Amino acid sequence: MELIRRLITKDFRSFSELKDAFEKQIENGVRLLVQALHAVELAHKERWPEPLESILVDGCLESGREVNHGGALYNFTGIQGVGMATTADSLMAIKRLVFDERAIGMEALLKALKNDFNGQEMLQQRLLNEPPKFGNDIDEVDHLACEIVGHYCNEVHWYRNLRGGPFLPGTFSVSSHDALGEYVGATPDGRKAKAPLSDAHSPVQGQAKSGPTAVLKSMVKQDHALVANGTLLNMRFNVHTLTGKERLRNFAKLIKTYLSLGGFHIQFNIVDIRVLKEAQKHPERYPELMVRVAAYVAPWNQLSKELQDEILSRTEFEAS
Amino acid sequence: MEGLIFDIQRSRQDDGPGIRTTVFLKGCPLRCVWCSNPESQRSSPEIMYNANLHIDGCEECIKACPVSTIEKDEEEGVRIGRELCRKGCNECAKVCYSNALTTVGQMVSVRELLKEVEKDMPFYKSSDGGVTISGGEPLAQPEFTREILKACKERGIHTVLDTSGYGRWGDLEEIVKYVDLTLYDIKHMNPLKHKAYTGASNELILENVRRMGQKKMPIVIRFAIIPEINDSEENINEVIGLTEEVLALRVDLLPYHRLGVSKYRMLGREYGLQSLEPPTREHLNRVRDLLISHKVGTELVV
Repeated sequence: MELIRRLITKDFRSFSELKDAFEKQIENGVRLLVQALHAVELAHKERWPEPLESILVDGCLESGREVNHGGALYNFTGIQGVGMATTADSLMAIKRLVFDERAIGMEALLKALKNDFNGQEMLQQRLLNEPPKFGNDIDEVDHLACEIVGHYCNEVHWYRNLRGGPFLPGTFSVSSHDALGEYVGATPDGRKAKAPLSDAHSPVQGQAKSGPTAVLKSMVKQDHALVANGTLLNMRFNVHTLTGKERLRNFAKLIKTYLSLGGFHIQFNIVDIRVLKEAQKHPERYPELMVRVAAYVAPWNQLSKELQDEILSRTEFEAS
Repeated sequence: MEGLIFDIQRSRQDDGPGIRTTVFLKGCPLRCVWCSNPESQRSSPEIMYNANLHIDGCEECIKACPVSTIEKDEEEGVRIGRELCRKGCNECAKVCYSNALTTVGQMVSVRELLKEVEKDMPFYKSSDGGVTISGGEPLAQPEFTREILKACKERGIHTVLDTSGYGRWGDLEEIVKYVDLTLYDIKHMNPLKHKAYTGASNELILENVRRMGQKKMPIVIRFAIIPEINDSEENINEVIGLTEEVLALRVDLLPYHRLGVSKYRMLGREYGLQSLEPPTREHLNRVRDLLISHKVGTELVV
C-alpha cells in the first residue's frame, strides 16, 4: 500500500507508468496468494487426507496416491480474480480524467477517495458518468479490461502447485465480490467504500447502459481460453422480456451468438414482481435491476416513482 | 449526409423481427396528444432536466450557461428559461456530471450511424434481426432515412421502417426501395378526429398506405389503443377494413400507457391527457377478439 501511495502521489508522469505499477501489484498479489495456497495445500497433504474424495477423483485409484498427494489425473488449483470491471473502470477513469484530459489532479482524486466522496458528490458523479465503462462495447475500456485480465492470467499461469499441477486463473466470484467489497475503500470508478465490487466478469452494477448485445460484445473481446478456470457473466432480465415465442427465440439466439463469438459462461436472473416491490423500497440493494418498460428495457432505479408504480401495476396485471 | 437523431438503441426486439438496433430520428410533423416520446417531436436539439438527479447545492449549469437562462429553484433544484435557451449549445449538460441535464438530439452522419449499427451484425445474422428506422418521423428527414437504409441494404442488413406515413409519397416511394418491412402507424380513421388529436388530417397517411398496398409492399399496421379516443367499434372496424385492403400482414396493438408523462415535465411542457387511464386487459381482449373475428392476425406489443 505504501508503495502505491508513494508512486501515485509523486512519480507517475503517464498512464502507462501507472499501469506498469498496477501490473506489478498484480504480480505481487498473485505471488502472495500462491504462497498462501502452498501453505494450505501442504497442510492438507500433511494433516487432512481425503480418502473418500480420492476414490471419486479420476486417477487416484490408478496411481495409488491420495488426491492431496497429487494422485489425480488433473491436479490444477483455481485462483479467482475478483472485481475485474471495478478495476477496469477505475483505471479507465484515471486515464481519462487525470491523464488524457487533465480535468482532475491525482492528489484531489486520492483525497476524495480517502474521504469516500463525502462533500465530493460532484466528483463522484463525474467519475460514475463521464468515463467509458466496461460492458458498453467501447473498445478503449474493454481492451483495458482485457489487458488487466490478460496480465493476471499470465501471472497465474507462471506457477505450479505442490501436487505438480498448474494454477488456473478464473474470474467468477460467486458471492465474494460482496464480502471483499467490505475491505476495499472508495474506487476511482465512483464506487463508495465497502460497496460490493463488480460481480464475476460482469460489468459494474448499473453501468451496462447499452443493452445486452453490447455487454456480450464487450465480453468476447476477452480471450476466454486464457481464463482457464472460467469466466462468468451474470445478467438480470425482467420476466416480461422473455415472454412470448418470438422473444424467447431471440433470447436463445442471444445466448448462442455469445457462445459462437467465444463467450464461455453466462447466467441470468429473471425478475418477478416481489423483487420489484422490494427494489422500490430499497433501491440501494438493486443497483443493476433492469426492467422492461414499454417495448424497451431500462434500469429500474432510473425510472421515476410514478413510472415504477405503473410498471408494478402492469406486471401484476399480467400475472393475473 | 447528416441527420438529427435522439437515440440509438441496441437489443431491441419489438421493432420488427429478431434482435434489432433502432435509430430514432428527431422531428415529427404530428403532435399526437398521447405521444410517449415528446422529446422526439421537435426538429432541433433541446434540454431535458431530471430534477431527481440534481445534486444538492450544485450550480455548475448556472455558471456555465452562456445566456444566463438557468436559475436556482427551491423545489426543482434549477429552472431553465427555455425562451432564451440556445438549444443544443450543450454547455450546461457538459458540466452536469449527474446527467440531470442532458441535450436530446444530435447530428450524426450516415457513416457514424452505420459504424454503430454494424456492431451487432452477428446478432442480426443469428436472429434474423436487423435495423429499424423510427422516430420522430423518418419521413421528415427523407434523404437521411433513405441513405441509412440504402447503406444497410448494401451490407445485407434486414431493414424496417417505422412510420406514421405522414410525408410526401415521392419520398416514401424512394425510401421503401430499401425497406424489407414497414410498420405503419394508424392513429385514427376519421379525418376530423385525426386532426383534432394529432394536429393533422389523415388523408395523406391513408393515401400513402393504399399506394403501398397496391404495390404489394409488406406492411404491418400498428395501432395504439387510446381509450375513448380511437377505440370505438366503428373506428376499429375501419382499421380492419384498411388492413384487408392494403394486404397488411397483421395488426400490432399497442396499449396506451402513461410512461412518457414525466418526460413532458423534463422538457418543461404540459401533458394533454392528465386523467386518461390505460386500457384494461378485458378492453384489450375485446379489441383483439374483434380483429380475430375478421381473421386479421394480431399481436399485442407491450
